[in-house]
Amino acid sequence: MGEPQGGTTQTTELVDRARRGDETAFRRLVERHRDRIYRQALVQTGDADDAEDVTQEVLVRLHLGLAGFRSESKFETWLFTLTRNAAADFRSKQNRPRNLAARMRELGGGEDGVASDPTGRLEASLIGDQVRAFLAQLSERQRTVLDLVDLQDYPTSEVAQMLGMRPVTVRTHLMRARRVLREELLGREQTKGERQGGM
Amino acid sequence: MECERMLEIIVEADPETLEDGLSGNGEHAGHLKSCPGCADAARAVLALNASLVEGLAAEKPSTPLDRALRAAAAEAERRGTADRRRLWRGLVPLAAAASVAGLLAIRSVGISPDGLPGEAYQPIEMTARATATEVGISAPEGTNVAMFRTPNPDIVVYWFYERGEGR
Repeated sequence: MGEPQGGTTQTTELVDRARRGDETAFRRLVERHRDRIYRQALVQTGDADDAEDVTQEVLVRLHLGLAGFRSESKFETWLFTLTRNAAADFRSKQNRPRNLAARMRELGGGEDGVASDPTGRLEASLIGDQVRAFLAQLSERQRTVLDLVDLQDYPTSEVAQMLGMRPVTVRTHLMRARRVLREELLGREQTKGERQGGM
Repeated sequence: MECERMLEIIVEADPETLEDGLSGNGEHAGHLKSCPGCADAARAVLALNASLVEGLAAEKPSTPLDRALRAAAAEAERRGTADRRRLWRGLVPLAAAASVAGLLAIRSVGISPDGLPGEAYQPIEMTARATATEVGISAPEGTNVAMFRTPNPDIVVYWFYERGEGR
C-alpha cells in the first residue's frame, strides 16, 4: 500500500513488538503512520481541527485495539478502516452536518467559494486552506477516492478493497470527482480567457 | 477530433493519459499538439493535480508527537478502567441469576426419576439465604474466567467471557 516492501516488513515487526507491549515500537509505529492518519482524517472531515481530533482518537483506539489486530490483514488497511470509523463516529457525535459549500466560501473566498484567481492559485501552489477549499467541492466519498487514486497512486482494486466497494463503484466516484474539480477549474480558466480576450 | 469531445476526455482522464498526450504519445497527442486551447486545458488539469498532491503532502498534525502519545495513553487507560468497571457492574446481576439457576438445576436433578447424579447427592432446599448479595466473586487477573461462590459450598459457578477488543 504505497510503501516500499522493506518498510512494510518493518511495520509488521513493529506491530508484533507493539502488541507485546513494547512502547518504543508503538511510538515508532505511530511516528511512521500519524501523518497518513491525519491526511485521511483531513480528507474525510475537510477540517484541520476535526482532523486533529480524529487523529488523536485513532491513537487511543490503536492503544486499545492493537492487541486485537489479526495479522492476516495488512496493518495499513486495518489502520485505514480504524481511521475511517473514527472519523465517522466523530462526525455523528458532533451532530453537525458540514455544509461544504459554506466551508468553501469560508476558506476560499470569492463569489462562489473558490479563490477568485485559479491560475495565480495554481502557480503559488495550493496549500492548506486552499487545498481544503478545492476538495470541499466534493462529497466525502469522492474526496477519499480521488485522494487515494489520483493523489496517492493506489490501484483502483486496492481502494475498492479498502473502502468495501466494487472497483466499478470506485471508478464512478473517481470520474465524478475529477469532473467536478476540473469543470470548475476549466470553467474559470475559460471565463478568465474571455475576459482577457474582450479587453 | 473536435475540441468539445477532447474537453470531455480531459475532465475525466487519468493524469497519465493527459501527460502522455501532452508529451506527444498516445491517442490524444495529435489533437493536443494542434490545439493550443485543449493543450492548455490539459496542462491546467495536471497543474491542479500536482498542486493537490503537494498541498496534501504538506498537511501535518500540529500536536507534537510526544504530547499526542502521552494523551492517547492516558485516555486509553481511562477507557480501559471504565470498561472493566462496566464489565463488573454487568456481572453482578448475571452472578445472581446464575446462582439461582444453579440452585434450581440442582433441585430438579434431585427429584429426577433416574436418581442422578447418585444417591450420595442430597437435593437442597431453596432458602432465602441463596441471594445475590451472598455470592462471592473472584476473577484472577490475566484470565478470562470469573468464579461465583454461592452460599452452598458445593455450588460454584464459573463464567468464561471473551476479552473486549477495545471498541
